[in-house]
Amino acid sequence: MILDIQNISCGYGKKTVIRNFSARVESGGVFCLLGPNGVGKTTLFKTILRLLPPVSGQIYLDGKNISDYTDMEFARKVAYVPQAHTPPFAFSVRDVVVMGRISHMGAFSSPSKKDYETADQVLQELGIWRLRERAYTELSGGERQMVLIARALAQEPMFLMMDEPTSNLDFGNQVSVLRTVCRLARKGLGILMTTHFPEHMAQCNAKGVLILRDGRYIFGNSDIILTPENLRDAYGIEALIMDVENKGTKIKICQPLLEETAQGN
Amino acid sequence: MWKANEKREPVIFAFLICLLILMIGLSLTFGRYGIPLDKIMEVFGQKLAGNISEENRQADSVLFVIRIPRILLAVMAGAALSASGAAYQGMFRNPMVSPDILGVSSGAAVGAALGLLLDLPSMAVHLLSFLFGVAAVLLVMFLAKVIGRGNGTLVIMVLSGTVISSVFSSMTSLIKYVADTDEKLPEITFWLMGSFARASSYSNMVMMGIGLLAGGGVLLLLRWKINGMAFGEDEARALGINTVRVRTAVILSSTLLTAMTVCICGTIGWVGLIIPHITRLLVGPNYKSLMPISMLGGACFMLLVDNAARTIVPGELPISILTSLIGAPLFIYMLFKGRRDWL
Repeated sequence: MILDIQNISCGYGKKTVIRNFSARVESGGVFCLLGPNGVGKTTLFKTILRLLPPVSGQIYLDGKNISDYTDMEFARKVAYVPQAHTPPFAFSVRDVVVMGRISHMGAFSSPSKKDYETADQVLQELGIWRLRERAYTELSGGERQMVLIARALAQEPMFLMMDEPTSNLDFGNQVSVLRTVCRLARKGLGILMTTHFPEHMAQCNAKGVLILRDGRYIFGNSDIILTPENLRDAYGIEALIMDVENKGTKIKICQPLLEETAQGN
Repeated sequence: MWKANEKREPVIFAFLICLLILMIGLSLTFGRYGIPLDKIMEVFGQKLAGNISEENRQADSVLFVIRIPRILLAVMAGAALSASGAAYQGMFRNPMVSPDILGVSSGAAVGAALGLLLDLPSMAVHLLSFLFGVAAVLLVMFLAKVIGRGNGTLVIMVLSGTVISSVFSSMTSLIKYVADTDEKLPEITFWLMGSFARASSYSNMVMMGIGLLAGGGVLLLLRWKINGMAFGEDEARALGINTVRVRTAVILSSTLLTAMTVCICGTIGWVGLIIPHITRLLVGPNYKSLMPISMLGGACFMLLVDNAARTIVPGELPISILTSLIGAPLFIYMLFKGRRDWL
């Protein structure tokens, strides 16, 4: 299945932040959205999720314009994983995950036995079965992020939209979330995620786009995007990019340098 | 207090149903004209058989003309206010929200005060009050739509609700100011304090019943959508919820419930705020059980308050005085017990 973004411009009201952006995201892979703060990543993200109407351009999912989908239909194809947050009420983890089934339930229905089974299965797959009866609000940030991924998977979507899935997580939790992301992509899901870590592109063997500060887009895989020049143009910093061998596989290391650049920040 | 791993909703549900039935039975015996339980049974038996004996005539009329409509009205009003408060708290994602947040009570108060000032018959006062209550909320929704242009409407809605409430409150004050101080002013003032005594009639009971069935029914059916709405607008949409439609349905149902209660029984504060809150402390935030248990709890609480209102002093205490006097200590006790899980 293909998410085809055609010549989209988006923004709030009269202020357009992203202009003429096109991209094709395929299921079975990770697509990273990189760029500095304020460049419009979130706006683009929300436009793809249909939370904001595009200023111009079209987005097609499986050949059909996303504005032609009903909320229910769209939610069965595209699921949203927000950043780990604290909701005002202490729902149990199982209740949170089963809410992912709302798009598979009738307008006035409650979750069926099968919906609970799907939720339980997802909890097991993600290795967070032990959390199922805990209150969501009492979990750590990493656990909450996994629960939100579980809720999205309970929607049985083709695409996952992940908004900075590793932000605010400690070193270990970042890795476990990223590992899950790669595994889900290998299993056939399309994953579109925004991230502040350029290395994620290489780690997930992802394609993606880097949005530069002047509004240009650099498309490609990590070899094309992760260059010192591109990172300088995007973030205004110097960075060291290194290819290292580890047990026969090539890994990319991206280390920002603290010294000031010639063009300043 | 509630813990996510305990399944005690069915127990609480069954307990509240038994409690409600018991309380209804006991409430029938209370009052200036005390009727012992066995006599009530006797009257019911004779009523069913179709011939009331001479000695039971008075008990019969007290029971069927005054007490039953009054008790059922209190039960339904408690359930209605709690359901609408519970729904609003989830949708506005704030446990401190009450059913009045969009101005329905202030609107209904103006309608009633106007009707009383103009000396309209009681049915017309109810109708005017109901219409003003609904109109206030529609005005808030319209304002939020115009100002918000589709973005951040919930916050704008709450702000518009605050503004419209205060406008309608000053209109009530204005009506009180021009009202005749010997007759009209006390009448309006007492009306606004709420009472089930003047409201107890079968026609009111049927109206309230229809309102509760329609509004409460919709809210019960939308329980899982309200669950999703508690995660915020964006996430709810991404879960597949048509948020505009669900929000409109929730607001209209809650407004119907509150406006119906206020136009018949007067302004009754607190119930819609504390009952869902206390229920959440007991059974957790899932509307699957929170909604029906809030309604049952609200019904029991309101009946308790009404019994107090008609037994504590000779004559009658206004309901809204007692909802806070009884509700506040109960609420503080629950907060104290549940403070670890709360916030």
